[in-house]
Amino acid sequence: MKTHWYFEAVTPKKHPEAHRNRSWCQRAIENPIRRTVQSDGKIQHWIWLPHENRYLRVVTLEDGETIFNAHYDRRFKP
Amino acid sequence: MQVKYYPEVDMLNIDFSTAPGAAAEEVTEGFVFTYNAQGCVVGIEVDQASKRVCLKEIEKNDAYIVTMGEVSTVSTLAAELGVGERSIQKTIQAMRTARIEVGQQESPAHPILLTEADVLAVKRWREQHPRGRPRLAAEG
Repeated sequence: MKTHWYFEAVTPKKHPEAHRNRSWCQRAIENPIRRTVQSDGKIQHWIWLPHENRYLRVVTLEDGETIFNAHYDRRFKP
Repeated sequence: MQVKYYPEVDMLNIDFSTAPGAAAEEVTEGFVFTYNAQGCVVGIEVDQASKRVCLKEIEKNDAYIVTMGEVSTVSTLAAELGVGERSIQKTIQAMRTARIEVGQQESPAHPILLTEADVLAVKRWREQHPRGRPRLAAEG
């Protein structure tokens, strides 16, 4: 799993639970229920976490594999 | 309240509390609000901040903290010094053996994160402890 320094340095403070859920971050990239490209080229991926009953949003760089940020998303509607 | 701007990635972080977020949502494109367990906003992250926020106004209000280069990793430092990552890892290991605290690592599976002070300490240690032939010759 490739990660950006922002994910390793900032995300643990802002979104610690999402940061710890690294395996699900990887799954979000591999098998998202939705994938959109931001205007700056970064890519957003969402996945449903059945064990937590909520969605996880994972943002990668343009390469689609380097994780930049992640958080539980309470607004997302599939 | 703490305001941090990360110019390398154009991210602005506004933290109203040191409490970690329990949930978050992107309320509009580029603005992610973070909430605590009680549902109160504890922070805001702004992606592509230079396009969406008047950063100069923030700077005028003395709440603008530039953190460029705040964090390095073993790979970025290795690239900067033109050496292999293994070489940097060995240096850090040697420093830790000498009971010098350097770098932060959440677990062995996570990358080592280096502050500016850590980077300077690693560079100084490498200058003071050269490896290879010169040291062997001196010892001989």
